Amino acid sequence: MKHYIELFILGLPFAGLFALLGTGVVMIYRASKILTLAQGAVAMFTAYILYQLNNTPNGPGTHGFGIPLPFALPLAIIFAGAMGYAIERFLLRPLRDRAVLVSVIMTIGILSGLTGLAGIIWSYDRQEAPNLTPTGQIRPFGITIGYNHLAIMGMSVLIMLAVVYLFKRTTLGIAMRAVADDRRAALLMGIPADRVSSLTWVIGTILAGVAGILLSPLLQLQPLQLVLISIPAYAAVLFGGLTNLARMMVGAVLVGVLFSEVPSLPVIKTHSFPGTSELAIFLAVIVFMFITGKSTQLQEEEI
Amino acid sequence: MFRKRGPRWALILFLLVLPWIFGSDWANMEVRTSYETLALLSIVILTGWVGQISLAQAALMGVGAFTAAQVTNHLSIDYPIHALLAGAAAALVAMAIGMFALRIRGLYLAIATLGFQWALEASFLQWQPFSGGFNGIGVKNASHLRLPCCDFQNDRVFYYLAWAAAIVLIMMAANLRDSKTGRAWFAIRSSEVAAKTLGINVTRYKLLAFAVSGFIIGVAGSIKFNFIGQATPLDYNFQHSITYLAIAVLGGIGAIGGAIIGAIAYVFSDQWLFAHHWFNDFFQGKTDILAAVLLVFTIIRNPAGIIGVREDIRERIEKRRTLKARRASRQVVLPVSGAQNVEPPADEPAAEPMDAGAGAAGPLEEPVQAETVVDHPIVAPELSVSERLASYVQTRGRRDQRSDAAPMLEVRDVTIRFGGVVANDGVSYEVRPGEICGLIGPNGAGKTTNFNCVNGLLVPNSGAIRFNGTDISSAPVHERAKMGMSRTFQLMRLFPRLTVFENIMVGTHLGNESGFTANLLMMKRSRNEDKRNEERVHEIMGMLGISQHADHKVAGLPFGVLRLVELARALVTQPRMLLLDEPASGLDVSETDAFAEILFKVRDEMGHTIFIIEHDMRLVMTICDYIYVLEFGRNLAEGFPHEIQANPAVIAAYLGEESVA
Amino acid sequence: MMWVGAKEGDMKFHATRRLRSIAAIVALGTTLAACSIKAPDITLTGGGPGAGGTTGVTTGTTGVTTGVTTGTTGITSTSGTTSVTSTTGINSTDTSCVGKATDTGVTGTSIKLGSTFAQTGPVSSISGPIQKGVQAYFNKVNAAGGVFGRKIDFVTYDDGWDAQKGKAFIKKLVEQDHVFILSVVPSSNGLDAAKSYLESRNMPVIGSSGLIESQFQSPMQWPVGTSTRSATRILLLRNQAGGVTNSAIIYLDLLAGQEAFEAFESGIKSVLHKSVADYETSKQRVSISGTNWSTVWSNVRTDTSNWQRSHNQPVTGNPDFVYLAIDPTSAISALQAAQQAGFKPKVGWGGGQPLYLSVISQQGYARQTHLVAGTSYYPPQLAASVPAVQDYIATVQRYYGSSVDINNPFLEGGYAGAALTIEAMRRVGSCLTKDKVIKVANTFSGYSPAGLTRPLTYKASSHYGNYSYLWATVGSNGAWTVDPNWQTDPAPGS
Repeated sequence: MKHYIELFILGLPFAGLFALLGTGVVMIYRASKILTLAQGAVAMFTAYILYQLNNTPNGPGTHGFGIPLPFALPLAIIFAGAMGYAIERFLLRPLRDRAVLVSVIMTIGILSGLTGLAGIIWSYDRQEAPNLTPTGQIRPFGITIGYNHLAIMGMSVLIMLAVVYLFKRTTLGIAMRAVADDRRAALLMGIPADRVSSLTWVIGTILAGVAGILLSPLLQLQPLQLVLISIPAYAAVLFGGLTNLARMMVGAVLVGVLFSEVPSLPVIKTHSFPGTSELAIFLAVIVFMFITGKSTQLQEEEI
Repeated sequence: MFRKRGPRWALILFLLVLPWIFGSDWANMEVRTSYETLALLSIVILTGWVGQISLAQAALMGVGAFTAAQVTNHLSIDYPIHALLAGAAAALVAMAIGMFALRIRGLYLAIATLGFQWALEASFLQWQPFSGGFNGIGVKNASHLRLPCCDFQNDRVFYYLAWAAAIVLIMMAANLRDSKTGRAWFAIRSSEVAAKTLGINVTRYKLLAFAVSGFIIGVAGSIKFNFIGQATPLDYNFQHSITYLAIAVLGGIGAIGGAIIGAIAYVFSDQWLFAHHWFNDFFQGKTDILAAVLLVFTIIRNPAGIIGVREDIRERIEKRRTLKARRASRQVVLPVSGAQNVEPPADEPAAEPMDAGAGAAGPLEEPVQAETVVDHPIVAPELSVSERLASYVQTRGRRDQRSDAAPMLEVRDVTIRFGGVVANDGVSYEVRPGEICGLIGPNGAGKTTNFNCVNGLLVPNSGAIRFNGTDISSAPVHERAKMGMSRTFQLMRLFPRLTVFENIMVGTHLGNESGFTANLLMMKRSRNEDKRNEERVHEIMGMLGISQHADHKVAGLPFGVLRLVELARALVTQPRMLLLDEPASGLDVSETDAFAEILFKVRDEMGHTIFIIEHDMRLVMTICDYIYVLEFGRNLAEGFPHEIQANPAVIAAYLGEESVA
Repeated sequence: MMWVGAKEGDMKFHATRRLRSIAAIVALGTTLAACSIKAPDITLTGGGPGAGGTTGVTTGTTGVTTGVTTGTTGITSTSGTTSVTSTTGINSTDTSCVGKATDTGVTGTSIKLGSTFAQTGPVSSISGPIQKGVQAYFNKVNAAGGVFGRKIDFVTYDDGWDAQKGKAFIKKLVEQDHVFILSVVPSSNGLDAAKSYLESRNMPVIGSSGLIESQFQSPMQWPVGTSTRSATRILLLRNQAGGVTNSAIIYLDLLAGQEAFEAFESGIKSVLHKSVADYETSKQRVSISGTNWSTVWSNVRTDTSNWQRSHNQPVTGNPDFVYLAIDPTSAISALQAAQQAGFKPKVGWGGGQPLYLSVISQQGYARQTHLVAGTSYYPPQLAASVPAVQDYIATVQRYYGSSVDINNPFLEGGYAGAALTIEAMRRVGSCLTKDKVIKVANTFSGYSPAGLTRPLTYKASSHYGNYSYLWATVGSNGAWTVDPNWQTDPAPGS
């Protein structure tokens, strides 16, 4: 039993990071009706940028400029934002008049491109991820919780709260929602819709970047892996119906927990069937969609 | 590429001699092209034709490959029989994915298929008993890689076996495209709502698309397995799904030719170019980004892909030819709003096969004052439309009686709520057979919502709907269409990338008795049905006077013509009752009169009952035999036209001060 | 998406539809007809046309092979019709054919050898550098005049660890580039896919890595490295000697991880004579596509606690040993996570060749916790006492400087594999043919390629040449301590 609680807690940092990734996706979707499939790639690339800035090379095949963390970190975040701006401005804006599908495929192209670029610059081998959190653990009630996990959970919660505050209380947040609801009306009201869109993407990619930076020490800094790990975040997004942040967060917790718990269930272990956590997450989403039925349907056409 | 006889046979001949034209080091690539083409073909069908995005294609290919491997090693069933099994297995899995597609569309589907690929790749494709774990499965006994005739290890020999399968599948795909099944698929892609309304069982056709696509890529996987002699999970991972999608887009996702071209480009660059050190040294490890850049570029510049370039050129030639023909011939022009012989706009929008297209009027161009040629075989051509109309109305006399027959459509106490808003509150009415019945009311009265209910697109919160005595309250849209209910939409839902003729042909779906197998093999039955339906379509086009537009793409035609096209499409379904939702909006006075004339013809000669929502009072009063008025979602009044005109409540709510002629 | 409307050509259109369906049916029919006759089962004889007598090596069909059984045993006399004149042409002092072309790929002045490498792909860090090791050795040989005056012309392709490309490139090497034989070919996926092709063509691959068991079971492959299964058994014995009474295993779903796991469990029974339940405290399969190491250690801890409880031992959650059948960078993450979780096995942890130390030894926790790794070759740390190693280092660095990591055991393996290839050719003498090379390769007895391995013996009936390992431990200062005593698998090939 204790083991399951421990696993549950171990799943929470991932839940937090999925929620971070998912928030970016939801934000961008709400502001532009585009589902970006490149969120994981942006996260991965930002983590690599931090590596490049902060790491001191210590052997063939390693890279880095050795900039100390207090400088490297903000630089990496800024870079993430710049990526978001560039993507929106140069790759997606020209497609605004076309069907949304086209933009989605474009984000797939971005996903592929960023992965390939990371592979070229830093090779497909795993690199050592900069560790931002202290080592050590606490042991309440015999359950081990590492400081790094606590740190990640804390940071995720803080950032999520900030985002929610942004959306609900600030003018910018209201402007974002207005642009999402009805771009033309927002324009008529004097809201600079283009700038708001850019800003949404910038924030979205910054969220992805932060998630990537926090994720890489937990897993590995490797182009494909970090991208793959972002897929559960999309499952969480689906729970929220692409638009609902609160439900998405619940979904993220569910996904994070499934991710840790499922492979350890006794029935799974005895049969050593691979990929059970992925299957479990996937099935959970599908079942959820079937149950909620129409409410998750994306109506392309107004009747 | 597969439409004209000449090129098709040239292609087959070319394929026959290909291995001998080039050296044997090309044979390897030539074989590989066959199964890569099939993989891309599966995407062309599923995403290009039916508009269902699937990022799970690589996993399906893996299912096919590993099934083939298992069947070969354990049951000693070899190629090509096991290819059928592999295809079947993949088709089944694809249908499972298809089940999601029934509930979720577009973007959701993309994520769901991504999740499916991810989950499948991590689980079954890593499962030792099925896939041999990470290291995969090889062929246990080398004798499985040969047949009495041929040694698969010999590239030139296996080439024929592989391409035989590919050609068969490609031809069947082409058959489907040109048949009823293909038309239903294209319709679903453009507008599921319109498709349903035309009687297409969207569920069935979607699942069918998944099954066909799955089968094709499953077979591709089995060919690949036989060729390499091995199947490893890494070959069927998430990245391959993306790569295939990207290459399909590059080649041209809407066309079979695109699949072939994409495959050739892919194999050539992956294997031939990389075998050369100068290319390898520079580009190795950069294929992903290369592909990504190409994809991005293609989407922005030419979304139809490489094959689109051919289409563009062809279109330009066509356009030039049409312009010349137009200038040469003389047009009969009616004095419609002072229109002159104006040339159509010079810049037609480029083919965009990736636009999902909501069918709204948006992507279609603004109506240009172009020539209007009206074709009336019956009435004397010297009279103007309004004159003819006036004379008809006179002969008809005053309407003050309704037919005694049992109502064709009965709507009882229908209530529809959206959240807190009550759109329809206890609405009731009847439409008698042979009438032209009108439903009017100020904006927001709930008329279209009510139509959607009658049609089946919306389910009412309470109330009952009966059609020809049968309770249809729970019948799905396509069932109601089958029963004889046809409909046009306020925001036109034509299929934007099809021509006028093709749009109307979709409407023949219900009247086409051929089944899937007949379509697949292009059997006589399928061809006969098509021929019969083509004749019907021409008839109706003639009747409505739009014959000359048959081969024009829908985008770029004047509004009035488009309304007629939509009407034609609804008529071709041979309905008992036509539901017309503001069909005259956007038409000017004489166009409206022409329309009225047509409606009379439709009722008198074709015997259809018409139920119409309209705002144009002149039209309503001219054609309707009986009228219902709604206001704020409730019945306000009902009666004959002259009664309604005089009704003070109606006037107050809607007609205002003006008296209508 | 235009389709033919009702225009002229309607009749033609329908006719072509018919022709199309006929063609389809004919194609379908011929294919089915061709396959209606079931091919008789052909057992692998390993011989191609005109190759003369051959040896047979039948493969096991289950995961645990029971060694190599012979088809036709030994070296049969040649009755071939190729350019091979007589079996007795094998004589390493025979210079009669110097300057002449004696077989495909062999001219008077050059020998064309081929290989594929995976410069990109999931294990490119391991596989990529191998090429340099091989090339360095060939450069050295060429600098000394080549083999009987013939210089080595090495043709390589990058197949990205892709089976399809790998096989295609191997075929290309054989059929278009007309190489003499293949050397090393570390790209296991492609090599595996091409196995039956190579056997049917009688094309040998000398000096492969040995990472995957199937390499030992082909009559056309001579691995130079120690098999994973042997390595595992050796580890078990070594641990037994070191006081390890129980062990957890973590294995990657990649490369030889699965084989390590199977060998582990079967080795517990066969060499330790214990039951798996009484030795293995936890088994964790980890994925190359993303592993949550915190969860893994949590699981290991819980499993071990349960095991300890059921075996009436003090419940600490720490097993004596953890077998890490994973790659080095996964190991780094694993160690980091273990440190975060405060997990530390009682005696130590480690694994075989993939877990090469130079990468891990930089990791702080590895230094504190007695991490071991094995290798099939004398590592650079023993350079002082093994001149062959100095030679290896000097050669590789001469040609590649610091762009290679000499501590990479796979790089070293490539070098050794190249040496094995060259030696096999040299022993034939100047009248060099493929068949003679094959025969020579099956007669190696006590030979150490480039002096980097223990003495190896290959026979026609068994290609398990190398079945020894050396073990190195990381010290607290990051330096390695290598135990110079070779440890041997008592039952190679089992």
